[in-house]
Amino acid sequence: MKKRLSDLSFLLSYAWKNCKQYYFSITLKSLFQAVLPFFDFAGLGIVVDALTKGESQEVVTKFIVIFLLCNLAVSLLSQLFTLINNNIMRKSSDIVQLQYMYDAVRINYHYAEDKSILNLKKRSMGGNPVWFLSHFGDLFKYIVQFAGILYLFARLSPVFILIILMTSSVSVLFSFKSEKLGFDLSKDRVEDDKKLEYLHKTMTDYSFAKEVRINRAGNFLAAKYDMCMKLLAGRLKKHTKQTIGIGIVTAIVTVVQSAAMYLYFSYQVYSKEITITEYTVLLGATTLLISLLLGFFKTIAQVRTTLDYTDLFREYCNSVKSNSTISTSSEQPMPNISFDDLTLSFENVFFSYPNSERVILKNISFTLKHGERMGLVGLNGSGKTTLIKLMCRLYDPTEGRITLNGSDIRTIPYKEYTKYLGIVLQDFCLFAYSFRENIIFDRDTNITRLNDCIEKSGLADKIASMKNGIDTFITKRFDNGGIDFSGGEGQKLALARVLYKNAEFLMLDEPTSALDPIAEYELFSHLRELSEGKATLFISHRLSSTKFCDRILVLDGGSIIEEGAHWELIHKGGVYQKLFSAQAKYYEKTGVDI
Amino acid sequence: MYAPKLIIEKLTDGSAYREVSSTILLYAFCLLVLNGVLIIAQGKGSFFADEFTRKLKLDIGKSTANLPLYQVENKQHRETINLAGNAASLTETMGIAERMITNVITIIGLAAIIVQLDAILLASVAFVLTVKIIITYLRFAYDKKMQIIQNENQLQGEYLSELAYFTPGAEKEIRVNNLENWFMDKVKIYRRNMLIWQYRSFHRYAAFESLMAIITALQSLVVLFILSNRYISGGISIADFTMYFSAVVSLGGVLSSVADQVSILEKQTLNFSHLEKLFDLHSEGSTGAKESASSSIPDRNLDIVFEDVSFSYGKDTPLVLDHINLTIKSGEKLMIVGMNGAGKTTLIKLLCKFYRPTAGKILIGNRDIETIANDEYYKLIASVFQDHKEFSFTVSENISLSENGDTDKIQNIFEELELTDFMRRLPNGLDTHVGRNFSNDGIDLSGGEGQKLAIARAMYKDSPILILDEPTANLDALAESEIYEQFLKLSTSKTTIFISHRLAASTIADRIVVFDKGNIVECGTHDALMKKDGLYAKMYLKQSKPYINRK
Repeated sequence: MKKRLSDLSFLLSYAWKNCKQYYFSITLKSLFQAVLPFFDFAGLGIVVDALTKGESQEVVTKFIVIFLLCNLAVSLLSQLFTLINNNIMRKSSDIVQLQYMYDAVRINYHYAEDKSILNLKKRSMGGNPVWFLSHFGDLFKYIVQFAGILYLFARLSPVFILIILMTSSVSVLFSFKSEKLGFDLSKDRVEDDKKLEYLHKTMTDYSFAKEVRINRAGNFLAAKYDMCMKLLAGRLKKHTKQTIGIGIVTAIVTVVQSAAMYLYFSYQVYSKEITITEYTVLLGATTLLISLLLGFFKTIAQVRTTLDYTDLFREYCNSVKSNSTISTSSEQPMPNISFDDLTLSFENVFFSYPNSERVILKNISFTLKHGERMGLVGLNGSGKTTLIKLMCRLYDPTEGRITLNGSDIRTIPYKEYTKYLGIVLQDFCLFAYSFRENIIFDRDTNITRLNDCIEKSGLADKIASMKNGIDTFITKRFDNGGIDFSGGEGQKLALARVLYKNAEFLMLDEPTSALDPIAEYELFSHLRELSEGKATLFISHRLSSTKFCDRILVLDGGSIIEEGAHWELIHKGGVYQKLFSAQAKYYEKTGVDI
Repeated sequence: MYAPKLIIEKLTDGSAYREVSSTILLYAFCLLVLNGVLIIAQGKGSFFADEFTRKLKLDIGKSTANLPLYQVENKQHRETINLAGNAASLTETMGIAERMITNVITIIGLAAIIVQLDAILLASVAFVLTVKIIITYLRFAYDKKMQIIQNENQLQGEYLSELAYFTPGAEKEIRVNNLENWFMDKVKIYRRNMLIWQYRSFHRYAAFESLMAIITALQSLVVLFILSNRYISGGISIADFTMYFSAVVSLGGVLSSVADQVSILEKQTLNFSHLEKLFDLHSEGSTGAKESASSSIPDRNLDIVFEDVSFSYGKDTPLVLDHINLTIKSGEKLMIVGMNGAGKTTLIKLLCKFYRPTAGKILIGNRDIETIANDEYYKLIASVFQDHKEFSFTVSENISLSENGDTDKIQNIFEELELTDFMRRLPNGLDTHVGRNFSNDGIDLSGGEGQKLAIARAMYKDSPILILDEPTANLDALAESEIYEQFLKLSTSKTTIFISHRLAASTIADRIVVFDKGNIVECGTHDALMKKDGLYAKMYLKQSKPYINRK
């Protein structure tokens, strides 16, 4: 109960914060809707009354016109209210949706990748606080109507009213139950729906299209879909059965109630306690009462469901809050450090992914100095990319610390810190917008620098060959004139992007894996020049490209096992030497002939 | 409406209480049966509608999965898929049909009541209905226009949330490059466009409804006037007055809801037309064979011949491949090299039948590949793409792409690819899920692991032709040389075509083809090409320099 109250106050304050007007408009609307049926009833009553009193045609017509004008005014007003309410509701749900997106890009990277937050988000979506207010408005409406009906019933036996209330309570219980079932179902089916959505995507989305075709995987995917569908259908079938059961019980109660009502009122007519006119009025009022009771408690049940959703929504909000530590560090004050000659140090860093026991990095210590070129080499899965992720502060170390000019990077606002990072990720992302936007984003445009970057990354010819030049779209997603990139061209673009950023640290994770030999060679000759005055970190499986580094770290099983310049490591005859000769042997064999 | 009147009549004409009560009980019983049937029908109905929706989505998926690639790539086509998906919300359509039926029955009943009194009343109702339907139709035409405009924005929205929630690369990029504001601006523009559209439609709706209200008021004025006139002239009783009036009012209500539903139905028809379009495309392009179906393909002779093949992605775009003539002998190991953007990958796409050549043709075993049905054709080819994809299924399913993969075969492949270390990392062995869409303890693959998985998939398929587009780009030096050695062993009898920028791999190739700007500029063995001292030699020397220098 206490939890519910706190959920309730959370909801109300959330709605108040986001959408004050709605409180006002919903009150007005409910009040209005509450009096509407009475008004309608009274209006026609006046006309009938005038008729039975034998008034002249003119008088009656006057009443009719008044009645209709009022009626029209009322329905126009209610249209107006609906319009206002709809607009406000849209606006407020827009606020929530935007918040979801903000959360998505702010939450620590791990939680974005781990889908649990997405599940929580989906499950909590039924709890938009502002929609909840409309239930509240409905409750208000019912209460007003209830008062009106009680007035009409003043002359009936209290026993009768009690019977109505008691029998209604059965329906009420069942409507509670049915709400609960609906909530549970929607909670359960999130997983099923997500799977179905994913499968539908694999079948229809372009990114899977080639694999699906060449492997004739269509039927396999369809079978998977079918299986998931059947699983969900089983769940739904059960739910349908229960809903039907509840529906039938409720129907029986309602019918029994109306039968009792008719019998009772008819009896009263026989015993001359009421007139036929009163009989019809009372019948109407009782019918209204029954539906009102049902509506009232149904709304209560809905409010309860909303509160359950609110609980999820709060859980989501809290989870986002406590897991956005990295981006919220942007709000902390800048520490007083110098940003000249930047030096980045790993100090005894250990790392395991959250919720995992496997230690990915073990006791890593090294320093990357201003102006230094460092290479990072190791087998697949040795922790190189994880190390980069830590450097980018996509994750925080489990133990130890990373410092920038002596200050723990956790004390530096994230937005400031990322200014110093220029990185080409292994899985860099090309956005489906124009070239220009992919390189500059929302930074200031400097045409000379832009052209320079395009030139250096080797994209100039490609761009010159296109009709729309730098404004050509990447992929055909939003523009049929867009072009698809080969892997190598994509890498060039990613490189142009990082060059444009012109940051102090340059980190390249496999930047040339898809480049042709000449492009690769040119890139490296440029890089010598580009990395001048910067700290550069290279990850590459092509050891020819790390060879020119001032220093090379060799990573194995999460530890640094060798460290030194190329020749030192070759002479050492360790892992590095083994890796290098594995690649070199092909060139030696064939190269001898030249 | 009749039953209460019946009871009241019984009450007024002085029948015994028992008679009245039996009428009431009969009425109650009928009501109960009706409601019961209704509830069951509704419950089952919505279940089946829901089920049908999912089945329809499955059909959309199935037919899309069979469409030629170039069609899936096209923007208009993606919009079609999207709109066809809307049609899948069949629940709505079913609901409409249901309501239409009930409404029509109600209309007939009410009309029967009204016509007893006066044909003029009925005529007035019919007139109002016509006006309403015309207005509704106009509104629908507007909605249709807006829906198409809106669809584009919707695609934008879907893309953005895909980036934010499902694309790790983008998620990292946004954080590391501080693109939060840039990204959120895009989201805001999308949402603003959506809101503008929605507000506009709310306004239209309100205006429309107000107009309807005015028409209804006028109608009521006429009806009430006529009725009161009748009463005063003694034609009808006061009970009749109220009954007729409420009959007219409810008829008006029912009719306008029919008008509404007609407009929703029209909207659905629009979606369905897209669905139909999709299915039509499917029946056109799915078999992949232009002429009558395939006889089986000879196993021995699988020479691949490119005959004067040219290709461009669009009418006005430059040729990506320019009159290519190339024969690949059965069992040959062909390496394709060239600069980025030289057309290597496009050649592969043509061979995979993802695109049709703009001119010229491709033959396998002397048969134009266009005449071979896709099902047959893809048995011949296995491929590892540059942008290979892994599915969120189990490792075994990822490799076999079937429910029951041959475990022993997979184990063997893993051993051959020296993936046994990777195997040991899997908590549930081959049944471990990749990614977390289907299982919370799924694992993430590194780039290199993903690539090995893709290679394993191609090897499992065991087709006579093997295509590898940059198979070792993400692999470390040891894995790379292992893979090359495995190739020698595994693909002895297979035709192998591989693209690689690592020219060291040329040692295992029988022949090397060099592409430049859509043309084949050099062709021959490593030694011949080195002697020729052309593009290949230039590339090779550049790449090998750092390795050779150490001597």
